[in-house]
Amino acid sequence: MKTLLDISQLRVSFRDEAGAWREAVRGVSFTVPESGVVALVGESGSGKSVSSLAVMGLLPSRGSRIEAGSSIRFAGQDVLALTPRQRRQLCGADISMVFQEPMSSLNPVFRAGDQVAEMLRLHEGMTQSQALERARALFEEVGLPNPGQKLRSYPHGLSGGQQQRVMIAMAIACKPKLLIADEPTTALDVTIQRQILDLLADLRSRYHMALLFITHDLGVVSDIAEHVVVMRDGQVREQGPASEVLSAPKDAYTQALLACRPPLQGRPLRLPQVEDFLGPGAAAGAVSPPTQERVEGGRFDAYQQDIQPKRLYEAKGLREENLTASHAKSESLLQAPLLQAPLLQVVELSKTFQIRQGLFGFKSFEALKNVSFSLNRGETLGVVGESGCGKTTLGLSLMRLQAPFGGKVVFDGIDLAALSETQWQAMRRRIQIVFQNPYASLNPRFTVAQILTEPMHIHGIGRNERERLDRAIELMSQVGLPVDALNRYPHEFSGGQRQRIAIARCLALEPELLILDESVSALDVSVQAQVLNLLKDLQSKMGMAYLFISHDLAVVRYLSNRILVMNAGEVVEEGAADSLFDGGKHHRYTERLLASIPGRQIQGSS
Amino acid sequence: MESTRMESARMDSARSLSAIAWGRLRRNRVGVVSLVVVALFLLALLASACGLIAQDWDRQYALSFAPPTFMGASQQALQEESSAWAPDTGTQLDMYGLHDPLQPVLDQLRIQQAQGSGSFKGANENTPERSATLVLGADKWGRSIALKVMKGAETSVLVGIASALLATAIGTLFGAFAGYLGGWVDALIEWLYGVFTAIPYLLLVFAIAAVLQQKGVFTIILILGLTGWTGVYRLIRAEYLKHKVREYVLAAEAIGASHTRRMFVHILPNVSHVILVQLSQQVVNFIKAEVILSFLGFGVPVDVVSWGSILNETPNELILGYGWQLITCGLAMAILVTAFAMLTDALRDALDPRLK
Amino acid sequence: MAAYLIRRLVQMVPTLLGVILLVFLLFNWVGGDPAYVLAGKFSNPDDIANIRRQLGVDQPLYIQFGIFLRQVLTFDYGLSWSTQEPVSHIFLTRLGPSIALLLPMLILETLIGVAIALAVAYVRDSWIDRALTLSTTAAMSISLLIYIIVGQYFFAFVLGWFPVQGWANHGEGWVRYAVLPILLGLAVSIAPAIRLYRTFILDEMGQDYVRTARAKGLSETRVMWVHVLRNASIPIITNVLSSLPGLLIGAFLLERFFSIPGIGREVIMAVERSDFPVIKAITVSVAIATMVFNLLADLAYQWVDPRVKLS
Repeated sequence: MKTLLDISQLRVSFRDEAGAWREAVRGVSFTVPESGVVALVGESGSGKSVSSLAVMGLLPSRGSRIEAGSSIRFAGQDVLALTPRQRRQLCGADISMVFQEPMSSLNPVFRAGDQVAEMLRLHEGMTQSQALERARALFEEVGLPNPGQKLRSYPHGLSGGQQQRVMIAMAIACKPKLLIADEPTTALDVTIQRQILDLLADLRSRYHMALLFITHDLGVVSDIAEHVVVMRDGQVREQGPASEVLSAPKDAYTQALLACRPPLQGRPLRLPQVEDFLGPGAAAGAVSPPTQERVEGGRFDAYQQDIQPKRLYEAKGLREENLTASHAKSESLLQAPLLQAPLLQVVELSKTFQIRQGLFGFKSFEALKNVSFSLNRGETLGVVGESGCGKTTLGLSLMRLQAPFGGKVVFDGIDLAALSETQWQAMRRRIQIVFQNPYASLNPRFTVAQILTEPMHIHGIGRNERERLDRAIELMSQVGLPVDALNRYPHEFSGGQRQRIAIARCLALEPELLILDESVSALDVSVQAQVLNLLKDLQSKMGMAYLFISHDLAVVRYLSNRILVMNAGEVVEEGAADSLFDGGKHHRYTERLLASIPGRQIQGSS
Repeated sequence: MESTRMESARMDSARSLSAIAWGRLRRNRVGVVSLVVVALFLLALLASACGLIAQDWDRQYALSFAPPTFMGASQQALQEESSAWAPDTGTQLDMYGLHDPLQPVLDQLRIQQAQGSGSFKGANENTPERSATLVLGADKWGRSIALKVMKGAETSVLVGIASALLATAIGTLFGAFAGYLGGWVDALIEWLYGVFTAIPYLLLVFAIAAVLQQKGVFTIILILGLTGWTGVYRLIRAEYLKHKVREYVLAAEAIGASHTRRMFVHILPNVSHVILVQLSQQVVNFIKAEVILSFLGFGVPVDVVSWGSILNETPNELILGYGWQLITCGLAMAILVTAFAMLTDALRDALDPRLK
Repeated sequence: MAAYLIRRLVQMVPTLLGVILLVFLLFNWVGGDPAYVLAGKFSNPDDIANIRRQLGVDQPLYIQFGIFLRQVLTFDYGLSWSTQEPVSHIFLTRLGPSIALLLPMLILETLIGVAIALAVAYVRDSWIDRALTLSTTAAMSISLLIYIIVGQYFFAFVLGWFPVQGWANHGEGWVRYAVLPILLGLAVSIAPAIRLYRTFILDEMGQDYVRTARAKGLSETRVMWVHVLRNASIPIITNVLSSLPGLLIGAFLLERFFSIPGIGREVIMAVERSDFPVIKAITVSVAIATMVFNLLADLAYQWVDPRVKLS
């Protein structure tokens, strides 16, 4: 096959705050064949997006530069040598691009149809009415319902999936030879993601165009790509045919990336981590537990013995635990008499928001409709659903961070809604929450020591500052952070480390129930594995119950005993985690969710 | 490898956001220069307020309208020596067709002071000779323009800083309560804000000035401070609305931190950069406002000199061909205000939380 | 649309009442007894009692408030204390010159400001941009008093290009008298306008849709003038509309120096003469104008921004 895009020795630098140039892309080379699909994979900061922006000439003109010796050739033409005018003729017509955030990538004050028509008028010399006619056909082609009306819609009047379809219609309008898609489905729900991926695959074969697909998600890659380029820290770690790279990766980092995603089948006791493959200190910015030993084969046992001697019964080569009951077992060993009453019982919980409408009028929106479930001590209940299904509202309502609500929440026999402020204050110790965004959940003006001792201070734990500090030191080692980090500020830590600090803050109160609201969703997959492992360790050591809220089925299934599937404020299905993927009969919505999970083939093989 | 990493971490450990901001400010050359200029001004004003310098600004050092030393003595000035300091009613060219009600009072005061008691150091009885030139020239009464502008700066900057502190404090407090508590508190303060912003700022100040018969530096500070809080309030309220739903505040609530603690221990430090920038901007605004008020005679009382009252003398002087007071006062003001404005910009850049 | 308008108008009522209350408290309560102001230093108790009766200030406060409320609603504020002219007549006759001065100024300021701001945003972060930012900062730090004093002295008094002062409402006379004040007003207001519009435009240029427009292969000119400007015009229009009533007062120094019989100069003279009815009338009227223009700004905002629906 002929080569369409040939990137060789690409080096891109950015100027940092002090004025020094720092290389973000360090000698990247790969090719895209005509009508081939190449996936560029990497975690945040790997330089994958910067490389694609360099192709399009979209790097900021000041503050960034492409170093000498870099070469980008498109259809034999040296792209970097083109005048800006020639470059513009190339972009849009022969190379086009779809971005991650469809909402902000469309101009909010122009109609969707006009934005597509602008492309056609510019590159194809059509008149406005010809262009709109063609745009209408394109809208039909990308599967927009009611295309005539959508032409006249403004972007904010379309759903996220529809916006991305408009972006795609715009990108294919001039029949480009190469379509660059930069994380086009990351901002979308999993079922929409599936539709967009199918659409891209379909359009590619119909238009015979090449596709450069940029993503962090190996599952998506396995679904769509023929050829894979794995990037890390601005360099290519491995590239080759998708079948080879994904099934028999040669590079240790690729192996790690593939291994540290929670699998859909089976349930390892711990997830492998990047440093298991690359050696200590290799995970980007992550601090590994200082006591961890890495003895091949026995590494999991060694680690667990070291930090949790109580759990010897589980060690010795027990890598898989498929039985949901094993959690109950470990719990019964720890806290034998506590099996009877559930720790948390939620009965017909409802929550309605009022939205202003019309003259003094209100429209109500039901975020939760009669949600009921129960949760035992030491158990993990997963709550899964797409955006807007009410899962976050559920977590906040339980913490009384959103009030008031209908229905009943009974915690350890106590009705939470009936508690006075003072009584609730005492109850807070027993229920804690970890939020999604580790960059927002820690007060940037507090040191880690202040963050950890504040809850103790409020609840009168420890007799004096000295004792509280000692306890903070203990907490740091529990979550695997060095003690000298105590007098540093949150911004000095990576996302994974911050999430550990947030967990440590909750642990300071020794809660019985920990609500995890998308707590690993913002993390790169390698860091996510570390935090998931930590959560598992902490649970078996302290016997906490988890309410684990996430949109990611694989992650939820990995951590949970039971799973609650939510849609539009309602619980549509409840069942054991392991039964989800066993091919049995499920609710229609659950089946659709399951079918949308990308990358089932690689998941199955691991 | 692990140990070296920890070592380096310890070396630059505990760099708080304010320390980083300070470091960033120090790297900004324009910011440093303007900080130095502002600091020098403030030091000079402190010295004059304590009576260390410019204490005898009211002394007649030179002939009326004596030019600056580097210009050399003017013939005209020497000729007019005899009648130099006496207020010359003939020179009261009223080019605007407007009556200045203060002028006679002012002149009378000057005469009294000049002839008068020992309360003014070095009044004319022990100034046998008045020089023909002065460092930056002399005004109508032969007083040193340099000292007079410095004394005027003391008033103007004091008013600027004090009223900015008052306005920012009110705005911050209102903004914090309205944004954080919401509900009827928010509705009430929003109503107040609506009322205060419906009336253009200067009009409100004029109206209050018209009503309050007694004038004084303290009155001006109160007027400017009590009316100027709206801008700060708007921003701080928006910040509190934004921050109160941030996860770190929810997390603080989850661990049981009280409302007061969340408002002032958690959120306030995180909006302090907005407050600081606003404060510095308000100082500039209020200095300008004071100058205009005093120029119109609604500001400081006649026996207090400020940049506004100095500028009030200059249109008539210009027509007589004497521009030194205008140039000196205008320059002093421009330098301070430019420095303050650039310091504000530098602060804004240095404190920007988006840059980490 | 109609529902929105009605709701906004209803919301204006408490604000207007607040303004009336504030002005009332200021003049009838804080200000003390206006009879002493009117009667002057040398007056006997009979005169004062007489004046008090005429003004109605011997009545209880709530009746005085009722009187004031009726004055606002009927736009009849009685007679000026110093000239005995009806206050509403003063207001209406002074409005014309103010608008004839301010409208051209505002239009020029917006056009020139946006054009320069766009040009500067185009070369953002270059030395031109930095130099302009620096010079606007410096220009803004010079008191507007100095612009006017020096400008009037130099262009009118020394060079004699323009009349020193005076006013004509229309025709050639207007051109003759209005040019210098307008130019000086522009000199003062253009620097802050450029800075403000520059931030509006730069905010938009950082948005993702600009990257999309470039990816489409659009020329930089089209990106700036069509995609960016259309979005940036939303805050610009809102800003211009809501700043209009404030300008009415803001130009008082120009009106005073050039003896232009406008609202601003009237306020200054009223304060100098303690002419309370005039100040009260102008304050309340300008406040109403501000509220109306804020409503217009909101309507314009929703008209240019399809994201906001009238509901």
